Amino acid sequence: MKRYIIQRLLYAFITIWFVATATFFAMHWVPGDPLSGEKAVSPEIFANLQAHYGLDKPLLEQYFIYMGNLLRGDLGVSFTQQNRLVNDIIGEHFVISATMGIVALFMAFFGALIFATIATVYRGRLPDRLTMVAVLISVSVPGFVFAALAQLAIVQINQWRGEQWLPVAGWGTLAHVWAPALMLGLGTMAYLTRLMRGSLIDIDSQPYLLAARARGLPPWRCFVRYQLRNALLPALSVMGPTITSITTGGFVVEQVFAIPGLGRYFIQAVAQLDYTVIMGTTVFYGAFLVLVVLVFDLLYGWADPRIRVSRALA
Amino acid sequence: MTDERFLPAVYHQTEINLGASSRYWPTVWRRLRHDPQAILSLGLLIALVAAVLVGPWLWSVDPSQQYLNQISHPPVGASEAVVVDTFEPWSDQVAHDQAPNSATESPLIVEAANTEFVRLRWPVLPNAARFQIFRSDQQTAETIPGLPLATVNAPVNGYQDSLNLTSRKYRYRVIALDANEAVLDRWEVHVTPQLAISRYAVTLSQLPEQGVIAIPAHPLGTDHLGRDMLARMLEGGRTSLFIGLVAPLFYILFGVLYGATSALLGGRADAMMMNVVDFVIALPFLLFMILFRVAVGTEPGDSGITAMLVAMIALGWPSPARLVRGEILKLREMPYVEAARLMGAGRGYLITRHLLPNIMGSILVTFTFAIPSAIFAEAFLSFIGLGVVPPAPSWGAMCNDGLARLLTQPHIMLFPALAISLTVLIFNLLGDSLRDAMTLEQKG
Amino acid sequence: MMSYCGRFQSARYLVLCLLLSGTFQVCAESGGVDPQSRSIGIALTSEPPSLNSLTTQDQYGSFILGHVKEGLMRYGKDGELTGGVAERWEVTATRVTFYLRRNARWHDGVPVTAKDFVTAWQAVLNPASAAPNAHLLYPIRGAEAINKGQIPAEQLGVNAVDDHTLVVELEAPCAYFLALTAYATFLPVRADYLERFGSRYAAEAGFQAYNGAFKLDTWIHGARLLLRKNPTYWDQASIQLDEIRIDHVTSDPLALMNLYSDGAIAMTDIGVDNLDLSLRRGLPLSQFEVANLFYLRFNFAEGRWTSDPDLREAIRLAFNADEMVNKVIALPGFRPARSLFPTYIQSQGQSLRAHYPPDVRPPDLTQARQKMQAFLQRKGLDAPPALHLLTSDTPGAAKQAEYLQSVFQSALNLSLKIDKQIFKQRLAKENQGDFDISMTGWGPDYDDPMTFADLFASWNPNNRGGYRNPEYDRWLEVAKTTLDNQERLAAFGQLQALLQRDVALLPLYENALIYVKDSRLKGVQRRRFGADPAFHYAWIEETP
Repeated sequence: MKRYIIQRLLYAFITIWFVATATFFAMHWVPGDPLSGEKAVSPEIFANLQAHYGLDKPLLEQYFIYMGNLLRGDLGVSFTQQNRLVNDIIGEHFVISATMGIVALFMAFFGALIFATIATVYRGRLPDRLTMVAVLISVSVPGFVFAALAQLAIVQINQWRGEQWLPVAGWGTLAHVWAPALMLGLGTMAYLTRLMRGSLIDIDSQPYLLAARARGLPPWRCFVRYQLRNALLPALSVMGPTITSITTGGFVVEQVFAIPGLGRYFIQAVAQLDYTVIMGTTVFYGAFLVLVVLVFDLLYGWADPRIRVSRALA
Repeated sequence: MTDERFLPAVYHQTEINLGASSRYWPTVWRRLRHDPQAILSLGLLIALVAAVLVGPWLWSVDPSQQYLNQISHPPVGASEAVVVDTFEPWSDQVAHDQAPNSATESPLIVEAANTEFVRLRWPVLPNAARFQIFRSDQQTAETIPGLPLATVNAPVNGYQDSLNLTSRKYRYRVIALDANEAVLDRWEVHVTPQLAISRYAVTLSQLPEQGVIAIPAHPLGTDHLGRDMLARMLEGGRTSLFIGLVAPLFYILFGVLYGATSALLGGRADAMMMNVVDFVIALPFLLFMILFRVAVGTEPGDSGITAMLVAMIALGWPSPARLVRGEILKLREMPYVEAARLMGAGRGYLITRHLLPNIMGSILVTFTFAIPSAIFAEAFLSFIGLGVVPPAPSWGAMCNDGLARLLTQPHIMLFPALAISLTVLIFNLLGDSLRDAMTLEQKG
Repeated sequence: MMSYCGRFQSARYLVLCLLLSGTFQVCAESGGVDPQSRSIGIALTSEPPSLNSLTTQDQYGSFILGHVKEGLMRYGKDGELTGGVAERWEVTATRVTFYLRRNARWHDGVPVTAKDFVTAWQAVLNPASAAPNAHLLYPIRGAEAINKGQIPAEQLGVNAVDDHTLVVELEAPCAYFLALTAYATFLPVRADYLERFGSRYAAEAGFQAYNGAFKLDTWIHGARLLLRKNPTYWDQASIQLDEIRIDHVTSDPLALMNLYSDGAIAMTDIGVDNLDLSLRRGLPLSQFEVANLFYLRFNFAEGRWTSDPDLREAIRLAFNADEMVNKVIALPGFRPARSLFPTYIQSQGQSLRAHYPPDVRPPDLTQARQKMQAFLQRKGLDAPPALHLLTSDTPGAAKQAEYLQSVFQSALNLSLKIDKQIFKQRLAKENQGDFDISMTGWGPDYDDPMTFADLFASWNPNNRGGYRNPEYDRWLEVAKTTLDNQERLAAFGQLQALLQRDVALLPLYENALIYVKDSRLKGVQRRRFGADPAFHYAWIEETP
């Protein structure tokens, strides 16, 4: 097991190096200069600026300098957010994206659990059908449409109630989180609902469940004890990719709800060609993805006896 | 409780996957034919593609023609516009010699009312210093005077409004203020401007020089530049579907080749190739899609489709590659493949006769589910301003244009959003049906 | 089975803890207008990239800096240029003497001295600081040479005679020097802060000193800025707001309007797409004619089709600025632009437009087509060549580009290929001259026609179209150095006529802002120069 983890970590390290290298060259492939501004400056000042940020050096040299700094955990200084360290930028704004992502994930997970349960209990009847239609709609409508509609709905509800029910946009208090998090988690909720409903129904015909029922266990205990628990397993197996897609997928929601998350910063940084911020964000997210997938692989292996056994045999 | 699962077992005839059985595809097709969901989604898909391909011939309104007198107009029938003089500064300081006809009539006089200009004239007030002019329509809240068009200083006693007029009922308000900002008088008047077109626009579009110009119907309304929504939807559908189909086609094709090569080579080469797949999968998807889209960039006059395709293909191929490799490795162990090989079948024979036909099913399903993702990716890029370059329309870009006007002119966003949702829905349903039809282990 | 269950629960517990141990920045959001605490909440459309007065060059930075710092001159209650830190001043041809207020203080109580200005200006000109706006200081003697590294910074023609007297020697007479000193680049800087924080100077709220009406209390990047009344400000009795809270940073116009409707912010600008919605919601709209100039820049480089005067003339004749303003921009307060100099522009208090009105010619499609024909014949072409129209990636710019494309296609059979680029790529293309026509705009740095006039000087790096005309440069030099206002106005009149004769640019429109403001908030100034909006003299009325 230890060897396996070390191997995976080494692998993760190489992957992060690959992400960094790919970003570095993709970014420098973009024409333009992070230091140019709407108001032109004289060539002398421009040369000074370039020297100040080390952009006058050959590309490969810049690459090795950057990689050296990266190894020391130093992501450099932002070009457009003058004097701000990229480490600080990521630190401050990832926390926001992550908070929203975690709430979204919880909403998606428990929402899916509830809907899948309802759908299974009322299998083939109206609640099941409605759930499945809702699932289809949630995966078929673009996210920004939902987000914009949600925001407009909040304004209308606030006006109708004459008091602030939920804040319209922004960030800072717990109340700011719910609407954007729900919008962010909606697609995942639909996906998980479908997945859980599928496995709940599958389990329905498993012999051990029949045996439990035959023993006369009350239906709800059967459900909680056998069906639910096993239905969660496939959901856990997709949790790794889900977490990554939720934490990196906040662009639209951050834009619509004016949330200062890392996604919004990234889009700005690309338009501004803020090299260090672009690099920092992709490298950080790349590392985050790799580690999350690793952790969930281990967790899953640990949780599912079948995999544990197969790995032990292998 | 009569649960069928507790009844005595009966013999179910099960089909056994015989590999490239001659019965495989006919079976799939037979199942699809008997699946109402599949028939419905296939029918809708054919209708959609036909509409987008044939539509522009049937609906011949030019998608780039700007009807500037019908900007952001909800669905409307055919109409006629009178030709009026091109806007020019109006001598707005004239003695007010026309007295109102009766006491009930407003002292605010409308001297012209068409969608090119509305001319207002009001009485001369000796103490007035300034006049504020407001305009509102039936949607405007009663609590405010309306849109502040301008403030003019006395002795000017007229105003010409040309600001984005359409043919609906407006109310103009003029508030006369003295030097201390005190309100001296308020007047208001209701006006419904006649649909008009300026001589400049007539000459510009080389329309016939006559008094009245025919304006076609806009069954889905017009957008923020007065362009026909239906024509743009048909045109934009081509873009969106093109991206939706071509991007997955290419990346799945490449993925299949890559995965198959890797699986067939085996050994170290396979391990190396799969490492590359792992690396590419590790790239944060949306971040790199943005980065690649920007890095490829667009040339002047370029629609931006190429850049989007490159970004999607560069990031999309690893999953199908992984899938295909896995399938082939599994198939290779199958007894019948083993048997064929022992009987002396060549590599080419094995690939074309056994491997390819057997992975076709999962490739097809993957393809069907990849289309909605590609359409969403286009919409996402358009949302953050990195989608198609104007004037090329796409459903995603049109949605984004209409987003801000969602509550006041819902048609601008609603129709393209519906089109995207419907298309994605069709492919999702179709994918489900295909998958069900192809999974032969399920009960027949 | 049990052990699995237990582990799963502990995993869930872990995640729950992560969530609850949460990371919320607790802040009491008290809405747009709060009469009790005399505070207001507003939104910024972008995080200020920098609050370092030495290098800042954007509107967000100058908005904040305009509230937290004060220069020698400032803009007063009616937008007039008046004394800031300087109490009085004496102007001769090449020397300006400023007498500083004895009660001007930094937020820590230290007096603002003439030395603080010398420190700042020398730092701006230091080649190592690479300040983009350093050229604004070039009227000062020795400034250009220092900025180019030819002479040491100590030789700058600025002298702190004592703590409260600052003498500035100019290279040549400069009629607009006083207006320049109100600009952010001229703000004073404390040497001790500069030394202490080095390259991180002004990067956080506490990393610089403030001498303005407010001081920056909190700065959470991307999320929140808090300005508090500065008790040491010399004119603090006139300041009636205790707090300006910037709780929201977003450029999404719908989100901004929603925030306003919801009472979360006290004022916001309204975009054209939200005009109808704001009317339906009954928001009290006001307009302010900013009158920044937006125009088409032609590429004059050898070999570009646009270097041909007939082609440019044809384009000008076909264009209908009224139609564009009324139908495409569709916001009240915008005006069709007729000249490089906006309508309001004044030289020493005298309106340029009143003295030298631009030649307004209505669109003429017949003539335009004739000019195009002449161009085609001379060049031996059968059909008009396709031109590249460079534009930014904002929705508004794209819409205007599509309109222009449609007009010139119909009018002249001239096809414009839209080249929509993200910010830095557009700049790169402009700087390399990789365009035929580019959509661009210019807002004034200071209150003088010169801030527009020198855009077309052959030496100006902002003259990205490469218009070169010795006659233009000559008249510009006259306008720069003369102190006789009539001569100056005449020179600007000449410049305007030259640009029109050569069709050096196609003026499109002068912009305006439509905004909503809480009716309890009074005295907010909208300005063309300096911080806009300005809350220095704003107050809250309890009953609207």
